[in-house]
Amino acid sequence: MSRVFKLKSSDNETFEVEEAAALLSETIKSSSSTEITVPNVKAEILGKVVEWCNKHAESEDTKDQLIKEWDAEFVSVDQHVLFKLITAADYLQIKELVDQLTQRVGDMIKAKTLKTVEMTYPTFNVEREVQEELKSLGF
Amino acid sequence: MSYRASHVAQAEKGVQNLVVVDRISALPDELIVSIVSLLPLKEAAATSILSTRWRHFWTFITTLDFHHDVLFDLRSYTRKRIESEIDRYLNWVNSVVKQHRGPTIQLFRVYADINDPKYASSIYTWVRFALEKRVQKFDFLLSKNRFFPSKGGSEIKAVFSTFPHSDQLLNVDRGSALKHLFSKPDIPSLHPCAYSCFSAFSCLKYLKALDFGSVIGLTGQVLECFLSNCPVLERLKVVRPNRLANFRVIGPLIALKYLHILKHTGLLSIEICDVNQLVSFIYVGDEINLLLKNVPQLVEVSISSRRLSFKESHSQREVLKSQLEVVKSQLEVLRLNNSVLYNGKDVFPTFVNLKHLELGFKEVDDCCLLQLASSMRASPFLHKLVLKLAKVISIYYSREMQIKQAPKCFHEYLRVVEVAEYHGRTSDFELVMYLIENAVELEKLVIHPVGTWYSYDRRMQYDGNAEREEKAERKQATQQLKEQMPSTLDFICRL
Repeated sequence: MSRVFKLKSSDNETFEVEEAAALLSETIKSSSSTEITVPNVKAEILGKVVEWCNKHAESEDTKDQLIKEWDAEFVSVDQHVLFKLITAADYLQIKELVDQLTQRVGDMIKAKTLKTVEMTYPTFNVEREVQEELKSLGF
Repeated sequence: MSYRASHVAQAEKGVQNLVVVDRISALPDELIVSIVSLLPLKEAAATSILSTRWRHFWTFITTLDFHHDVLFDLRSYTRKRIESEIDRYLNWVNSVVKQHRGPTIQLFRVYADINDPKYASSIYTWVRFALEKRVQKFDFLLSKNRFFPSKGGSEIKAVFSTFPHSDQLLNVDRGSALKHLFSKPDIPSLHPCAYSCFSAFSCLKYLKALDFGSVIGLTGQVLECFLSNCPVLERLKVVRPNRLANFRVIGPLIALKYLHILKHTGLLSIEICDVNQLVSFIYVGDEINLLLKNVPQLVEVSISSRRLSFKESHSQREVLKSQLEVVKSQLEVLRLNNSVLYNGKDVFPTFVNLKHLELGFKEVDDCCLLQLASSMRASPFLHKLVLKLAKVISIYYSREMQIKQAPKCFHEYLRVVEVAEYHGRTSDFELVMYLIENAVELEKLVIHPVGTWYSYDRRMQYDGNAEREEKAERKQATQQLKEQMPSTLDFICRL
């Protein structure tokens, strides 16, 4: 008989999660109670995390193309939501979800950040600053 | 978009990205480090200018990929150019290694010129550093390979299982380690880096996977030495070995699960015996003399031989037939390129567990239907079949060739068929039709795109018209197939 876990968001909404999905979270795994309050995470975000866990609990083969496509869509969210998801997944210690989300952030900032700092602050010569810094670091 | 509008759009995007950086800063340190670890090394280091808090994040990154455009692309640059970059490269790597503060790294990837004495002490430092940081994956890109100059350099990739928390691992003094580098009598001429370094630091026992690419001096003896000194080695992949002729993989103390030997030249005589964990064996090369004994978990075998003379083909076929007999009831995946095993006359064993079969026809043959039918009969529970038809399109090919007919053989389990090198020849068409008619539960048929439609000779003849003719022929072939496809079939034609 599998246990049911209750996850409570910071705005007092409760999500019921089956054992298989819940145990994807290390935090829940090492918790003594089946009722866990997740501070600083609102229902909208917690709901999405639960959705991810449910999806990953039901399909055993994570290398499946379909799951990969689902995951890719899952992380293509607004920045705003993305960072909130990272915080939630980090608190719940769901390693794979954190990895997927951080990978998305990495992809977002690759090679763009410094160029755009330059564009927004035209007097700040980013390129030169960076070169000097890299030189001092041995690059 | 007008000039001004696009400018505004770009600035907006810029602000958005700044906001990204700002948001990242709100995350806990460990997450920031894992995000920075995903960036290329130079960009990761550049994040140090973002703020005082960001100054040291990059020193904790877990990926140290010392990629260098010139050094890592060994094919295109002259030795002189490479040499001019090396000093700077060495300084760079050593500097980064010195500044690294994180406790662990997942990947350490570096170029090392083993022919250059300057490198000896650096290699020692790097290996020691990587082991201290409990590296998981260690990739060495070695210098230009004199044996295969056109193939660029060689690579050694090592994956380690988790190191224990013992400092003894690193209690090897520099002197003895360097002595080790040059005095291993039973391992002649193998790169000191690979064997001696690892053994000097006694970490061979944690080696989980090894991948050798174009490494010279890999004889069977050397590989056997690795196997007997690496008790947890699960994956061994050897690409382009130049001196591998005999290889004995004898258990039971070997943990090997995957043995892949690719782009081998010459004859390989290999004996695999009592290897309880072996799951997959792949050979791509010239000729193989295989001996299998007691490999209870072997489920995947791929043998791809090229350039065999008629006599060699025949003896190889006999060898393969007898060896596959040994594992016939275990095999789930079988790939045979260039060696069709069974024609209509042979008595063949049944592969009761075979789910995936790949067959490659070397040339257009009037027995091809019989061969296909025999293979289908031999694997009654087959789920997926991949056919690679003959690439050779000779101008002497006669369109009038009479293909020997094969008796019906209804196959109830085959669901997916893929066909490569479909050129619209009579034989090609008949093979596909045979499948449609006999694989009664077929769900999906894919015809892969073909590179060359005509042989070189014919191209020369029809200069100018060649492209148009080719396009027409492809269209005709596609049309001919489409007409015969039952509506229940998912037919994908990419000619």
